[in-house]
Amino acid sequence: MSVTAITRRPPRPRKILAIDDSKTVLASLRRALEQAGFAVQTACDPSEISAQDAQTAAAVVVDVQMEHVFGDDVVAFLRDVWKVSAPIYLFSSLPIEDLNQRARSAGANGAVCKSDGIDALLTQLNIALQAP
Amino acid sequence: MDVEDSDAARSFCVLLAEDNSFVSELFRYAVVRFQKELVGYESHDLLTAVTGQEALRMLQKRRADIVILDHYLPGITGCALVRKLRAMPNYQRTPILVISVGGSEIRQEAIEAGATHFMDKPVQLSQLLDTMRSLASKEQACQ
Repeated sequence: MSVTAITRRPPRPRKILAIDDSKTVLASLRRALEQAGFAVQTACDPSEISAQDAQTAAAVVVDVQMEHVFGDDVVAFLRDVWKVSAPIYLFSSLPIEDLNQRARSAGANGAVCKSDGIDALLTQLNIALQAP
Repeated sequence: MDVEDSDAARSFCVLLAEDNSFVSELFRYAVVRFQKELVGYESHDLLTAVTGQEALRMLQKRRADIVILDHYLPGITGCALVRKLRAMPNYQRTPILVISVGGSEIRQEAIEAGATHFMDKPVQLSQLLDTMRSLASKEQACQ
């Protein structure tokens, strides 16, 4: 009798796409999200990403006040034109009332203030990605 | 050079010149939303250029009802293009919107060149839509 060893590949980590014009914020996001087990793709400007990048992300995190564009407009574009269905979160220094309003209008799943820290964002992402 | 526009009498044409690929896509998204609101036109055209020269060539061949220009285009700047357009008979009253980083200095240059309106980057798309509506109503009032 022969025994066939079945080797299972570990599941590929789910990718989070983070868009922010601050390289410091992106570096912090990468560090925290990778420690939490995610793969991370970062972009300082939305022109660095393709539709496929956005469509293959498990979730997208977008800053609001960037050099060339507003993040809430980017979210509306991702939803309407690139048909991105993954959870999207605004991550910004703006007051939470303003952020929540922008998130609702644009079709984002939610918003997190940068002052609340990356842990608060991570909590939101984990909740969104654990949902069936 | 004269512009041929007899074939486009019932078409509303917007020319957009922007060299940042994503910003261009985002503005196109806004222009398409704006054009869907327009009534009384048989069709809508959207011309896109990534350099000043390309925009000028397009505008020499096809008259646009609204021109939207980034200032920092490769080759001819947006403001220089405004001056060239204002010297052309068909573009003396056409609404021209210049969008740029650079603040008050570029704003002043754009207005002195003859731009109808200036907006600082980043532009919120809702504000761009409102501006296009305002410019279109001015364009229709001039006809």
